[in-house]
Amino acid sequence: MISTLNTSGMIFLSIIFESAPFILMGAFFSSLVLVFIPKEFFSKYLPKNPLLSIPPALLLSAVFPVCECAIIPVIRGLVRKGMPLCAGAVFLVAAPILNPIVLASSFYAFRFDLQVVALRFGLAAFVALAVGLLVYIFLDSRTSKNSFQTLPMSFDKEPVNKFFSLSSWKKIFDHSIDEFFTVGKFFILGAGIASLFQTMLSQQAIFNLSDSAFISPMIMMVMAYILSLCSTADAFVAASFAGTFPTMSIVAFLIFGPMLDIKNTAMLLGYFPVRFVMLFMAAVISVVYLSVVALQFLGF
Amino acid sequence: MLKAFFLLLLAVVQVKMIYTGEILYYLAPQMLPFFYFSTFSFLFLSAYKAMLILLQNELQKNDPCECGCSEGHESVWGKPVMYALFTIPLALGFFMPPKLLDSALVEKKGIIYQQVAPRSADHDPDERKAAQDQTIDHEWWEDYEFESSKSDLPEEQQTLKDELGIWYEPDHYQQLTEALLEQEVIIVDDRGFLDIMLVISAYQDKFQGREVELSGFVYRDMAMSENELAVTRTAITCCLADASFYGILIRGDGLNVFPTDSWIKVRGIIDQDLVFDQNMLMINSIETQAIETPESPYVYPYLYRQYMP
Repeated sequence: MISTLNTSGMIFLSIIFESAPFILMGAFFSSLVLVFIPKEFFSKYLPKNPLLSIPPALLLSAVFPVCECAIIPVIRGLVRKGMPLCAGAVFLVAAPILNPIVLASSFYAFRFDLQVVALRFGLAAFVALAVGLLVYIFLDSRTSKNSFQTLPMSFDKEPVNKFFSLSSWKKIFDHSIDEFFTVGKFFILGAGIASLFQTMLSQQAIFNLSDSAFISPMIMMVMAYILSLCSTADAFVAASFAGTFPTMSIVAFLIFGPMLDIKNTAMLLGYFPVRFVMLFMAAVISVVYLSVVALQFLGF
Repeated sequence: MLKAFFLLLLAVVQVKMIYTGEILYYLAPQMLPFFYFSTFSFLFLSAYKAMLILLQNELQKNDPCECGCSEGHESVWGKPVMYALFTIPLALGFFMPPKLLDSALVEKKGIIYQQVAPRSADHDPDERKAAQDQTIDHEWWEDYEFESSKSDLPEEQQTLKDELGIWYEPDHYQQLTEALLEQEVIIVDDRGFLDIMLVISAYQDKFQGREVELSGFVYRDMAMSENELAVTRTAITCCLADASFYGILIRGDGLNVFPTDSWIKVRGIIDQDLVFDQNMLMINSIETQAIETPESPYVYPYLYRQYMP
């Protein structure tokens, strides 16, 4: 028992050490957004209809190399500045997968089956659009525009900050530190639960459950959720499943894991209203599952 | 104030990990630059906070809002809970003895045995090329036809090269095979562990009957008899959460004296055998001895790091 806990502790610390630099970067970028992007920015430059902000959000998320830990504070900062929620949801779904580093590691891990790589990126883009649309239908179109600006955050009233001013940078560092501690506590919670699952739960037993075309993608999604891997490393783990699981289940693992897992659920819950988190999770789960099963029947 | 203190402690834990080298028990070497970055950031931010506190004492009136960001909306319990949560990794980092991942975890996560690639009688160069480019992972031999990836490959290499600046030498595995075959006893060193084992199982027919020497920890599963065990290594991509275990079946008399999880060095003859309908690479032990846990017990997908941009 002690030995198992010791192993859990090792995995826990390992996840924290691995993610801390990315959380720091996320906190820093969200502070940059907070201080330098003027309040009217989005209302000025974005189309009036939030729906039209979805495609540019998808394009932008493909450009930025951010992972799932770093993106959450940044998105909250942006939404706080008036970015439509559906665009935020697109970022949360797409950014951890559609980026050059993840592309490189997926290529390397799945060189023997490029179909998996193509499906991973194609489906991720599709899921992002679908989730954005669902969030638009259920939240953006119904709630009043500014409800998210009531998300508490300081430095409310300041005018646009100058880039070369000491006070701007003081704000950025102060806010980065606070952001790091706020995200950090949820992250620690998530990493703790994930590391306990890693050592206590027999993945072998779970794998033995998989037989039907309906169940096996579901199992891979559960595995992805529990394992809470970084999106740059998950391709290698998925490659080791390749013999035991059908292709589409592997794809389900590869697209669902970066979008949702134990550690980022904890962070989402700490950062966004429960209503949004629930809707977001339900949308991601159902879109991923249904599209994977549908493709399976189309013969992939 | 407390935040400055916690940031400092985080920096100290990370410096301790670097100083003692323990960090390699937690992260793959390719993640180390990021780890240095976070260590430096923690140091910098704690120094910055400390400086603010000192300044504030001098000119209190000028700084009405040292930081109002999170104080505003958190409940009374928010702060204590936050610091309590941050105390957990700090305490573990300072006081928990580092420990290698062991058989108990292998049982939960599963082990990947080296399987022998199915071979056709003759080796025309085309097929060999396809086979060698497939020596990346381990369980797909049965499931993927060589033909299917053959046509994709040049195009894929081209894409990698053009778009990502990644270029891998297609003959790398060929060269490795030849270099290994020249050795009298094939030594599987720690650095090349994954690649060498892949080459051996991919070209098992060439290596059949050759003498090999490798080390790892002892793992046993339920199906194994008394004179069998698996020499196992833990492979890490980024952190321990993505660990996977690679094992090679060893047979020989007297293997039962080595306790599970202990480290051994095996010298033996390469062979293959049908286990549960799968053609498995195995080694008939000539001489097996107990060894100390090596300095760098984990193995890494070395080629991957080499080709990262």
